[in-house]
This record gives sequence, C-alpha cells and structure tokens, in this order.
Amino acid sequence: MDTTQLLKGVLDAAVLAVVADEDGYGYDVVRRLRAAGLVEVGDASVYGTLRRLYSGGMLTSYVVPSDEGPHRKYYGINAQGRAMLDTQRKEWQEFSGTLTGLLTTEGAA
Amino acid sequence: MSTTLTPETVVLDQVRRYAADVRAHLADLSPEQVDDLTDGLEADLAEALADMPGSLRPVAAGGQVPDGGATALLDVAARFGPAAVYAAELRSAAGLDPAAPGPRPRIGLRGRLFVLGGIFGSGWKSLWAPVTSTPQWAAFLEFAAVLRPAWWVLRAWVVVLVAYGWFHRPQNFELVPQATYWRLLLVVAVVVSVQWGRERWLRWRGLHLLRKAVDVVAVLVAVPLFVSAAFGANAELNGLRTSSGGSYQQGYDDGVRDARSGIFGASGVSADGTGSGVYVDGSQVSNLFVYDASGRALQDVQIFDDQGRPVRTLTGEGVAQAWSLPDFEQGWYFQPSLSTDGRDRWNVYPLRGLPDDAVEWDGSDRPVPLEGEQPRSMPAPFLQAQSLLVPSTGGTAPAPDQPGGAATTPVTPEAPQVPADGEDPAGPPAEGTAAPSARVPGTPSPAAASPVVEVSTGAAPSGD
Repeated sequence: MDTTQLLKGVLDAAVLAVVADEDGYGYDVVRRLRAAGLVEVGDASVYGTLRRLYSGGMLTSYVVPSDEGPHRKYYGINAQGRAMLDTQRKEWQEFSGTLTGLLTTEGAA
Repeated sequence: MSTTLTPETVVLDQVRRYAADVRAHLADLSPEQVDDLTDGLEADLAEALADMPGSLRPVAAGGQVPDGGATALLDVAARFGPAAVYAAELRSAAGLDPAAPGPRPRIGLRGRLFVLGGIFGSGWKSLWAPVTSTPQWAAFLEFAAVLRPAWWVLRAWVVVLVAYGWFHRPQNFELVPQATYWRLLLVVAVVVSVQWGRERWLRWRGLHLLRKAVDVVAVLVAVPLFVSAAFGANAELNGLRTSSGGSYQQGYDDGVRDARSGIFGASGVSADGTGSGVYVDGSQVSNLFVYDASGRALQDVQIFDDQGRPVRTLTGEGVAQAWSLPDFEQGWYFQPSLSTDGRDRWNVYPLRGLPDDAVEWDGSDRPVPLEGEQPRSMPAPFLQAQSLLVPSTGGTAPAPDQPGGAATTPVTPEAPQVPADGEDPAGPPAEGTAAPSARVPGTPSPAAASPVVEVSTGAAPSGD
C-alpha cells in the first residue's frame, strides 16, 4: 500500500498533533513525525502543511534568531487549531474504527 | 579551485544554492507567498542534512572541496530530490495551485504562441486560398515585391515622424521635421530600415518579430496619415502644414474669398450652425456697422441674405466665447437682440455686448447679462461714413411693388409660409449666394426689401 497517499489525507491532523504537543520549527516537526513512525513523510510536504495551517489561522508563528546560522520559524497551536485537531481526531477514530472493522472482517473471512 | 572551508560553511553554501533553486521554481508566486513558503528553509535543510551524517562525505572527509562543491551539491539534491519536485511538493502541501514550473514538461509561452499561431495561421491561409491561389495574386505579389524598397523608406519615415510627433507635439504636421537632428535621424532610420529590409543588418532571430511589429504599426499609422494628407492637400501644398480643422477652415476661407462680393457677400448658416460666419479678407468678422446713404450710423439693423437667411457673424461657439476688442482688456461677450416673439436675433447690427464682469453663466449655452446690466454698444469705427451719390430714394424707400411696404414695420408675427424657407439654409447652393450678391451694389433690389421683414419672424428656427 502506498502510505504516502494515505498520509496526504491525515497529514494535517498529524502536524497539528505534533505542534499541539510542543511548539516546533519546520524540520523539528518533520523529525518528530518521523520519530513517531511516519518515516516516509516528505520534508516539503510538512513545511507546506505548516504554512497552510498557519494561513488558515490554526497556528501561531514566531521567529527565533539562531547564533549558528539562519533564523528558525517556530509554530504553535492556537484555539482554532485545537478545535480543528479535536474534530479531526474524532473523525479519524471513527474512520479508522470503521476501516479496522472492515479489514478485520475481510481478513477473518 | 581548492579552498579551505569548514564543513559547516560548505553545507550552508550548498543549502543556500538549493534553497535558491527551490525559490526559482516558485517564481510565479508573489514575493510574499514565496517568502512565506520558504522562510527558514535554509535552516531546515541544513539541519536535515546534519541529521544524516555521511551524506556530505566529500566535505566531511577533509574540509576541502576539490571540485568547487559540486559533489556536495549533488548530495543535497540526492537527499531532498530535485529542487523542482521539492518546490512542487511544498506548493501543493501549502494548498497552492500547481503552476507552470513543475515536473511536467514545459512548453513555455513562446511554444504556446507558436502552436496558436500555427492553428490560426493555417486557418487564415486556407480562408484566403481561393484568392491567393490565383495567377492574379501571384502577379500582385510580384508587383508588391518591386515596391518593397519604397516600403522600407516609408516605414522609417513613419516611425521617425511618430517619434517626432510624440516628443515635440508640433502644432502643425511636418512632413519633414524642422529640427536638424530629427532630419539626421530620418536619414539614419531610412538607411537602417533599408539595410534591415535587405537583411544585411540586424539579422538576429528575435528582431524578425520586431520587424513585423514595426511593419504593422507603420501600416496602421501610414494609412490614416495618407488619408488625412489627401484631404488636407490644400494646406499640405501651402507649406506642408495641416492641423486639425485648419485645412478645412482654410479651404472654407478660400471659398468665402472667392464668393465674396461686398462686405458680407458670403455668409452662411450651415446645417449644424458651425463653420460659418462673415469674413473680410480671410479674417472673421465679429460685428457689422451699418451707415445709411447720408453716412449716418444706423442702429439695430436686421440683415439677411438674398435667400432670406439671417446674416450672422457669430455662429456656433462664437455666441458663447469671449471676444477680444481693440484697446479693451476684458473679454467681450456679444448679446443677441430680442424679437417681439421672444426669440434671440443674432443678425441685428451693430451687435451689442458686455464685458466679462457683467455677465454670468446660468447654465444655458451662453453667458447672460447680470441683473441690472444692459448690453452695451461697441464704439463704431466711424462716427460718420462718407455720403453716397445715389438717389436718396434708392436706399431707404420701401419697395413700391410689394404689398404694404412692410419694410419699415420691424416685426409682424403673421408670416406663416416662411418657416419652410427659413428652415432650409442649405437650399439653393452657393452659387445662389454669389450671383445675387454681385447684383447688390447696383440695384438695392426691390424684391429684397419685403422678404427681409417677413423672414425676420419666420427664420426663427435657425436663429437661436
């Protein structure tokens, strides 16, 4: 199964969840997603998703200057983002429950 | 080149190049969008690379970059994929439309125009095929080919004239610019254009299109230019000048001069009330002063031509514009007389008028006297003119053979049949004005006296 295709539909929720846990900059979010097991997630997909969620008003953003190199842009979740995350969490649980049930039945049969 | 660099600077350098490459693939977005998408990109890339030790082996090995960093750059691309793909992913994840630069093959604007041109071009050609396949067309092309050098000269001339007109805004059209350096430029342009046409100079590919564009523009300019030149031929030959309306006015003046006999031999009220008036030696007359046979100045004299049309010195805009009088600083607005039926009369001389500060604009098409102001007379050129030797009865007596001797009765409203005449100013052609007016000095035409009065009420439709 092409997990990158599966990931597309749920990347928003995954990114929101990671940022809700703790503020993070672009690659930091990528790293945490990968550490959580989404090893195939693309850097640019995550960065783009962060920008889109920010534009949509789900995230806050602030820049932290860096001594060693270029500055870093951190993202944090806000109330709207949390509401969105809650919705998506419920939707995912329903969907995954349905699909799990479906696949389990088929596998058993 | 072999430069000692720390691994960090090399990585950053490569990362910057890669980031710049990504930005280049987002160039169709607004700068703000690009900034928003790629802000902090270098930091993220650098850190991602640092997370994968070994990906930059050539740099890490000795701190030396043997080939200017190309190997390291390759590693950056190997880690993140081609910049174009990276940019496309960034763009689509951010919810932006995938644009022309992307993984798909690029046709480019030029390619598309080419394809479009091919589609239209072939359709256009087949449309004209019935014409272009004839031997006559071939003959025409052969003929046109002979004229090409003339066209090369003409297009240079047109381009220079347009540029000259643009920069100098000359009052009159100049076939050959007055300024010397513009003449020089004309010569240079002709040489360039001819050499260009002979394909001796300027043979770059891009200029092929430019040449077509210049040709099209030159045709678009040259045709109207020739048309206007043809219509303004009079003025053109009299010193190569024409201006908007000038040539027409000049032609009209010439006609007036030819037809004129006496002071107001040729006055006209044209259908739209413009382009007419009274002229003496080519200059327009604003006011007329009338003296009787004994040389006395007359006031409030109505003047008509042989067809019963009011002779108006002021027509069209003339009734609303300020005139300048000799030795009088203010502008002067002429005012009409009023007939008993309440209509303005502009053929009553000498016309009275008012200076600037005694009139107001009340929204009508001409200024009206301020409250309490009365139109004033202008000083006459002579208090007394020379007496005439004509029999004293000739000039002033009412026409003996007309009923009622109506000439002395200024205005009588009963003249029902006349409006038809009065409304037909274009009526009999110009010869009708010229011939009878030539007769005027000889005999104070008895037939003229009576119609004058009747027309004075009847010609109202054109006398507003």
